[in-house]
Amino acid sequence: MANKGATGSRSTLELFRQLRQSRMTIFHPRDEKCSTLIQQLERIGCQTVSLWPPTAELPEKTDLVIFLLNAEASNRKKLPWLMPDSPIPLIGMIEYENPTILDTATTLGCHGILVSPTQPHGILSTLIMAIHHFHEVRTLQKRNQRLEQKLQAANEISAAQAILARARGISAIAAYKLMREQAMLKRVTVEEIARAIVHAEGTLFN
Amino acid sequence: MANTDPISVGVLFSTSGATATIERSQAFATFFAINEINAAGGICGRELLPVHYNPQGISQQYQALAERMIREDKVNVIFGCYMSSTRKAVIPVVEKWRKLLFYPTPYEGFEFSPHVIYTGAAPNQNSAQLADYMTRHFGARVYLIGCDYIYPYESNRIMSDFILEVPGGKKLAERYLPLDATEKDFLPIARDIKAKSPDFVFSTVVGKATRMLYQAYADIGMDAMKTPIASLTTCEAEAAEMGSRIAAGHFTSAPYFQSIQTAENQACLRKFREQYGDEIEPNMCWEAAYFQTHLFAEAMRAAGDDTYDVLLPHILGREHQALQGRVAINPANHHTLLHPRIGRVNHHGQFDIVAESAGVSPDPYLVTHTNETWRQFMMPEPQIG
Repeated sequence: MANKGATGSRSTLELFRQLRQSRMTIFHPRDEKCSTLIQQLERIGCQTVSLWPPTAELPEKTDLVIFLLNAEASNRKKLPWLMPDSPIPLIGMIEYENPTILDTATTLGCHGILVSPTQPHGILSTLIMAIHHFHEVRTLQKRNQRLEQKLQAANEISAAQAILARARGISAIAAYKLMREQAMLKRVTVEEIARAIVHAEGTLFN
Repeated sequence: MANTDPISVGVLFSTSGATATIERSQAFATFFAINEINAAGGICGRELLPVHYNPQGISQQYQALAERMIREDKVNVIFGCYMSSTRKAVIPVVEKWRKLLFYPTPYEGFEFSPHVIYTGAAPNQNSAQLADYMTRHFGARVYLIGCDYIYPYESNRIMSDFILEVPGGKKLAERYLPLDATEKDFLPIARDIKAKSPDFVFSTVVGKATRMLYQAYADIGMDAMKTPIASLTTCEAEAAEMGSRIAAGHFTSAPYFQSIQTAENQACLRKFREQYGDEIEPNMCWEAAYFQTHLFAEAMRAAGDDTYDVLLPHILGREHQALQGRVAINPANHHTLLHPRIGRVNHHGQFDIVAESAGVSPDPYLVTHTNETWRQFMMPEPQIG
């Protein structure tokens, strides 16, 4: 665990480094609130592109989007980049901290919120936390997918073991050994052998 | 009808407490500059009137006294603060009242307030240079020691990051002591340093504790010529306090040392001593406090007023011939273009300047301090006489 903590702090530094090379797209009307935001982003060292109204296509190589999130924006026709499984972090800039807007923000899949008008302080923290959690969630999703596949395979293996043990009158351990031998012989995975056994049983007896 | 009312300005430096030595020098540099400005006819015939309170090194006092200067003494501008915690305490006050704080102290970066002008070094103007110089000349096995607050943490983070990228770079230890640590507290650390035998020691110890560290280091028999302490804050004032026998051989990175051999600098130091005697030792924070007061006066002459909205546009982008060289206020981040230098204490308690660079623009949000960002500026090392 201590080791994990150490790598965690290194990766936060890594986030800071990435931030200085990040290209950010800002969808916000060009007013004073927008320039306060952009000035602070540039002080931090980010590269920004500011557009209004929002475009359906993001500028090339956009690493992060900050967009004005208000009632009108949420009623507007769907923007293709604004979706819960966005491949880049999305930060909504809101004017009202009320349940309607915050619910919209979470439903749309925002990773962070800035409250308008922004102050120079607070922007850096929001960026770092949004990017950090974005990556955490992506990592966890991938791990979750892998675990689901593994679990599925484990279920199939134990089902196949039982079928084989019953059919041959051998122990579950011996059944597994047999499946593994078959897998090696046919140069496929044990999971595939197991799936074939389960499938064959279904075909033969149902 | 010409306005001849005096202009009150706040001076908020501690003349007692753990950091009094440096803050006194900052206060006197401010008074010195104000005297010069007034002797030259003030600001369009108006006299500058310093309003000085002593916050005794206590953050809450800085906050309360900043409020008092603004509400009761009607100041629009405050010159003040040394430790980051005291600056953080004053910022909400100047932001609330739309006033301006001039802050003449090196600090850890990662800050911007529209109501602050930062005239001390950001890490890209002192830490990066020191890390590079020390690792090239002494090696990259480093022992880190600092006082227990934010400036040392962040400075040590930058130093650790830097040395880990140098081949063979290693952090041998990272130790923190309270601001009021005594020599007795430093002895076990000095012994540990001796045992671990680093290439150099990086110290972010500030205030009174500085002398304790260097004293303990000498007492334990560490040789500054072989294993020096490198610092961002130890200056002529501390060298004088500890004596040159103890201070000699150690390094500091700063934009200003008394030893800068320009006629302007030497004349200014003579004039300061004539007026204030030898008690105050001019140093990097003294110089920043001195030039920021003059820079303010120049801006106010141009603006005709010292209220925030009128004055600020005349400060941003302004250049000024300081004792360290030509400085300029960066309009985007309110920090100052400065001239990094590396000094080594000699047997007179003064710093021999062993490396210096042309002006470096401030970048307070820079995370990775690679060589390329500044090495091109470094000049060949002068011969030490």
